[in-house]
Amino acid sequence: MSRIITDCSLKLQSTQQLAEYITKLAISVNGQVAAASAGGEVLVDSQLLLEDCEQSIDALEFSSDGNFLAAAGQSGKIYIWQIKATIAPELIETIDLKNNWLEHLQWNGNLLAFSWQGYTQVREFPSKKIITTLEHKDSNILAMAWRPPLFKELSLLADKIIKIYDSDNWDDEPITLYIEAVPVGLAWSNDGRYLAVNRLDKSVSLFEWGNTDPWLLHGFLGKVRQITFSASREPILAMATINQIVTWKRSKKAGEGWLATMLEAKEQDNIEALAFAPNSEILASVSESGILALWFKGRLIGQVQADAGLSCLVWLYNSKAIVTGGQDGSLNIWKVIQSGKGFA
Amino acid sequence: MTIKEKQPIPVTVLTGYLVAGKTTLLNRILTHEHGKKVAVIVNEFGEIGIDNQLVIGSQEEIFEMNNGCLCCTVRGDLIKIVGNLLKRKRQFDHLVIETTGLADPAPVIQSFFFDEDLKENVQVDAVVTVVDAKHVEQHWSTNEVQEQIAFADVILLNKTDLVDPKELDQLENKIQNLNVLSKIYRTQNANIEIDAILDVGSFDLEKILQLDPHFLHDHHHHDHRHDESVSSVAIEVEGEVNEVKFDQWLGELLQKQGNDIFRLKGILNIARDEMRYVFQGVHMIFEGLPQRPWQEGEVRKNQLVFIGRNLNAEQLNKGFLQCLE
Repeated sequence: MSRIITDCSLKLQSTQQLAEYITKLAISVNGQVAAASAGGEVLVDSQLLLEDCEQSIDALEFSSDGNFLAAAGQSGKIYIWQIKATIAPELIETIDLKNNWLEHLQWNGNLLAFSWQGYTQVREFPSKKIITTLEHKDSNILAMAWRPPLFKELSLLADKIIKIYDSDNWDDEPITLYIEAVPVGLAWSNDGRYLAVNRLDKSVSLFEWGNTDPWLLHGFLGKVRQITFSASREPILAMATINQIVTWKRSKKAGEGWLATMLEAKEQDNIEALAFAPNSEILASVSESGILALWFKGRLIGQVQADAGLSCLVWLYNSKAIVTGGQDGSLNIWKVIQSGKGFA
Repeated sequence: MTIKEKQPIPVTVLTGYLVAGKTTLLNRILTHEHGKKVAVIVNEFGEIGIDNQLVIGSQEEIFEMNNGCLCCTVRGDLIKIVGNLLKRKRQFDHLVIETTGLADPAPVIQSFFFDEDLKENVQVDAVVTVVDAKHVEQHWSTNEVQEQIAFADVILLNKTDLVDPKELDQLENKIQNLNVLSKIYRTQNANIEIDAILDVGSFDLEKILQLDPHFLHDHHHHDHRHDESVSSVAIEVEGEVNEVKFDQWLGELLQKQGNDIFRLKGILNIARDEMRYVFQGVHMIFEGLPQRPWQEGEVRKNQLVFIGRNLNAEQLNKGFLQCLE
């Protein structure tokens, strides 16, 4: 059963202001919203946890149970807070990796993975125990992700290579996948079946679990900046390049591969972020000129113009609201009002 | 909604052998009262004696583009870090990138042409190379020294107080002949007017007025022989260029010898075109544009300068002459 979606309206529900460009947003299972800025701020709900730092924070994530929040960035410091329902978040650890601009950290339960230069480390919290330190001297890590749905494997993206480690056996040889061009980032589908890697050469490598030979999606106007999968049973892959959004769905016919749908976006307006709603195939995009747009089945179903350029977004878990971060430091919560009628 | 500010931020690429005086120059740039907010990306922290939030460390990481061309390499670390810095546009209005003494400057420059975000927001201003006048001879035979000189728009011949004047003249000649387009300044303690190194506009096609190759004595030294070391070849000839023939010739040349051609600049008089055509290249990257109409009384001559390794002046001359109508 799915609702027929005709149009959506977006209504500004609340707004807050940070000092600088919002680099990252995070959302916890408990519905808490965190934001980080290029001015070194970290905000949870309405509370500033960090503000005395001039250097950018670029990585921000809640642990999957919502009990911890980690942030890191230009200063090379990783901050870990314990989040409790009744009292203010408590800073329980600061890891100083001196002068390494940190961009990648990922929780899996209470395990935190992070990379700097030639290393990736996994630590457990609140015990602070080091679980493993992986060495990869040949290349820096460009992106990392635990593989859903069980989050048992840790995938690390480096120059033209992906290494996937088994967290039960860290010392085992990782699964290795090769990419023929310089990669930018990676995304797993929620069922862990597909792994997409966007590349600097205007294309995307798309792997199916168990197969080292990827599909190659190409022909885009520019560098593919964002990739993301929908949570639906047949995952949709959405990607953004310059002002273009393209969605891909695997054809039901054998041998046909993936079929593309091109979404029309405004001319000369870079898409800065993409995200599917947690419980539907509605895709939200934000752009450099400040447009928050909603797309469904290849069609624009709602949009709103923010006061400033937008940089990132997250959906709330119930899919009823979207949080956007602005290039001017504004943090907006938009209510999504669906005006669909009937059921199909 | 505001109109996007599209004024690109200039980038100075600072190269030089280990103790030539790069750090002294960096400290000068950072402390000088020039009214610019300068962000610096360095390879090694700790060398800079100034506590500055805009000094960022970065570990050199070279990515091959795998597009069938060996010289198409970029600095992955720079693409990331500059991308991050650009989010805080208000924070700085000039960027300096320091490379190690052993670095090839090409991947740094190429990063700003290959990555579309960088290309849109940042423009290489100049390659500045600091040369240790006292010790450079010892390292002359290494590829790095010659490449860093070959790529340079501005050269600081530093530590001149430690060298006798006659040797200094010889050294300057040698450097100038290797890279005939570079502007050489003699310095002590890297002491130089900031205007000479920042906002030079060497990669700005609009600013190419005329190519003035500084061949010092021994002008024809490199002609008529195949030179295995790094050198410059300048071509200057009147006449009208057939655009199709030129494209084909240069395309093939860059395809075959792009790896050895470090820098390339030129002004062309295209047949049946009122506009002066200007171009530049770094390895296989090439860009050109019709710059402005030829002025009345202006001599419509073609000028090309190649700087690279294994350049064959005779062949280059012959090849270009065949492009004339």
